[in-house]
Amino acid sequence: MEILFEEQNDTLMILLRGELDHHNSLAGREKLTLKLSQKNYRRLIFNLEGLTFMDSSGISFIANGYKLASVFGTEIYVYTTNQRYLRILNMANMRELCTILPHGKELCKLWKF
Amino acid sequence: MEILNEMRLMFLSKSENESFARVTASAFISPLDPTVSELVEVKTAVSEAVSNAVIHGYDKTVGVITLEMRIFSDYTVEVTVTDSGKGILDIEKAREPLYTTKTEEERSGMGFTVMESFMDALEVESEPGKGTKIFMRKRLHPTHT
Repeated sequence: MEILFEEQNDTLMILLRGELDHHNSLAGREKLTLKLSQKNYRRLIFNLEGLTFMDSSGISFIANGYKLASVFGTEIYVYTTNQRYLRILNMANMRELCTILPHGKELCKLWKF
Repeated sequence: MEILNEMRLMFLSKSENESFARVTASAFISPLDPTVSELVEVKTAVSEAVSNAVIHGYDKTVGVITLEMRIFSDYTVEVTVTDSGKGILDIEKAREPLYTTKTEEERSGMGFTVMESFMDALEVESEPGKGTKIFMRKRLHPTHT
């Protein structure tokens, strides 16, 4: 799995590409932890559109980001239009930790393309 | 209903084999011409079961995981994931959403919940010290007669 970071002012977008499973989440977590240790952001946006697969390890990955950043009051967003990923996010009550954006137009309010 | 095909795959409990198990499961059910949704749901359930065997069953050790699958003429898929790892102390608790014994590894405790949601049936047999067997079933294309 590839992780790409893009910044706009005080917002960090975390773009995930490929498969997010237990195996891939291990290395991904380290990369994210390192990135978040360098700067505090006002917003984190996990962009799942590039994922070709995600299981419940995706929940752990996002929850870990929440754990690292929410201490500083960072708002966490998750952008995905994939119905299955949305189902997994809902099963895990992720709405309690972050704002889920199931449509591009909501993302555009937070990010300039 | 008659059995169309059957397979058994054994592999080491290394996390890189999670993807291998998914791909194998996809390939095996493809003769049933699953929809994209069905394919993803079966793959995800297999991924959860295999990951559980890797993370929990064998924990810090390496053992063998067995993936068995059968497909039937009525579009039913049966999946069994077995390990001879440490077993589950309290199965009911393990199946509760968000419950995990691996908080230090940041696990979400959603594995069984996802399996239950994406498959039609889930049965878990396990005893501490005696390994775990996860059985799942899904009927594809329920509108087919």
